[in-house]
Amino acid sequence: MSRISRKPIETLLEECLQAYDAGLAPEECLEAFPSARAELEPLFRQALSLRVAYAQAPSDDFKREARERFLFAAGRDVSAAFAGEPEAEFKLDARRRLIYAAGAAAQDALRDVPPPRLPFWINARRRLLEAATVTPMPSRAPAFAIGLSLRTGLSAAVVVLALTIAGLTYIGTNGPRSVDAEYNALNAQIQDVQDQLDNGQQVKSEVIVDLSRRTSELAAKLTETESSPIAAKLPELIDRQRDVVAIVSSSGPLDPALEQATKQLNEADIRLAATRLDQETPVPGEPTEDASATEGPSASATLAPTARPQPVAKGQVLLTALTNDKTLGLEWTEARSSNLRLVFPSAWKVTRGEPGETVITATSIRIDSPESPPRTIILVDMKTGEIIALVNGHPLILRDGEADGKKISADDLIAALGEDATDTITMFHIVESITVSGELAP
Amino acid sequence: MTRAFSPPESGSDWEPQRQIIEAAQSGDLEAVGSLYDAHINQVYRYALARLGNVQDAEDVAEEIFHKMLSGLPSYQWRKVPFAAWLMRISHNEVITFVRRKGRRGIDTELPDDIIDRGNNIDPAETTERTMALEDLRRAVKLLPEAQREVIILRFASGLSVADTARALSKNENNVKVLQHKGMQRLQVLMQPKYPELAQRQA
Repeated sequence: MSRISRKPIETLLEECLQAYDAGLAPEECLEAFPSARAELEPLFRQALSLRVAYAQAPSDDFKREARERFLFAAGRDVSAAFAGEPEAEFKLDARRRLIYAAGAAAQDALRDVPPPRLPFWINARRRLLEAATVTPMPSRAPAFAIGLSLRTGLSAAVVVLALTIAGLTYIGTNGPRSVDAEYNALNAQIQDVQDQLDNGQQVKSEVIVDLSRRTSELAAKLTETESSPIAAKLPELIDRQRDVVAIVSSSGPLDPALEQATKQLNEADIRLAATRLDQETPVPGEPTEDASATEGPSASATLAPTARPQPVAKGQVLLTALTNDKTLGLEWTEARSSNLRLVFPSAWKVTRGEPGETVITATSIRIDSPESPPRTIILVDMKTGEIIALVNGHPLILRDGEADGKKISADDLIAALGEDATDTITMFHIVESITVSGELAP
Repeated sequence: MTRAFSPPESGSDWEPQRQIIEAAQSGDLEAVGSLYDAHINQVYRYALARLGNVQDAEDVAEEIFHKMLSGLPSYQWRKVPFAAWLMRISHNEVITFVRRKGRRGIDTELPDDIIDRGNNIDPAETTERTMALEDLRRAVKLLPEAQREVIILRFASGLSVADTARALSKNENNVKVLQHKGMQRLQVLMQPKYPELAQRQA
């Protein structure tokens, strides 16, 4: 087999290697390129030597152990590590790796993931409420009226008249306005803007920014007032403004003013979400006042305001359906030992104990989300207070087992779980619910 | 049922791999395990070739798979072949590792299983062959970074020219040229000790 070839030597080497991989002997490969053989042969033999030089495979032990750890991180075999009685050395090693992996994931996410998206903020209540704190807009003095009077040197009567008009104008535009009135004004002005766009007219971005700013301020007012029907109507106004921004953005180059408007609309959304959450969510762990609800597995689910939580013996975990906790639209169950408490979605399964059992004798429990295989696994060591989770393969230390029991921060949580908002939201509520009383085992 | 596959050599072999990757992306742990099985040697060899130390290579290889796990949901099949994507992660991870920890020394001795691979029963010849391969690995470390990277991806990890190009964000011709230059330089580096290479070339 021979062929005359003028291909570059790099290409000939590639073809020669492919022929070798296809089963030809080295000599047969080289015979195919007689005119280039002198140049090709040393390269070809060197390529084969390089393959052998780097053919070192990882040891079987490493491959097996690394695979186990890899699948552990991917969500499998967690039970083997924690549900039984693992060797102390393994537990320490796994813990170290988990912490390392969680830290690395968080760092990566902080580097790569864009700022948190809206759904997370809905649940980051603390931060939300800080963000929702209204900074009063600096009031603008009716300077134009004063300037007018000074410039023209009008009579005192004219000045009084001008001041009166200016004052009325000021009150009309900047003064306190009821939530309803502001909503109606915004609604009408947004309608005007939409009509203008429908008629092919241009809308100044300043107008859009002003509307979005006022919408955000209105949302902020709602967080400070008792529940108002406006809270339910405002999202529609926000959506309409987003439509306006989208239409105006599509017709020209990127306008920073429109970005500001979008930001303000997002803020309005966040503030509204905070309002809804505050109105809907009971504080985890607080007994409810609904004495009529009795369907929970334990009386502690429906405690009267003055009742104390049912005591839990050491070494036991009490599971209680929280019939009135509808956070995130889910049913929640409380797991409580003598010194540790947390809540988790009722649809999740506790792997210790029989189904429906409300008191489990165990010092550690595993809680699985309902999918098969579970997307989220939580391992709770009731003795040390260490709580570890695996969410979509991301290992997370929700609470470390140290004496001070540091909980995962909201930033670390979102960094680790990133864009999967559903898991982030659920996990955030679980973390928030973790409380410890008394001393934990070291 | 255990699914397994080999890293594909050509486009026609991609479909099974694609199915495995999509299954892994949807949370199928068996598929995730298959990805590990299919690529662990490739990743480990790359890490070992770059770091020259078994302990470091094991640490980094494990870390690379954790990174792969994190990035899997965002991996897009159409943009880059999986092996190239994985080796890009590997490349970045090795750099990060060296920056973070430095190197813990270099093992240049080849393990016995490689030495025996030549089916050579003459101990003297086997030893000579082993020393030549160890010298070759040392020589690779002396290559310029770009050439060394190509040589390692091509011959340690077994990537095709196309995948090497994707992994390094270069075009295929560029990879071929770098490989050729690297191999020429290796001949020069090896020549004083192994003059028969030069004789062969002549």
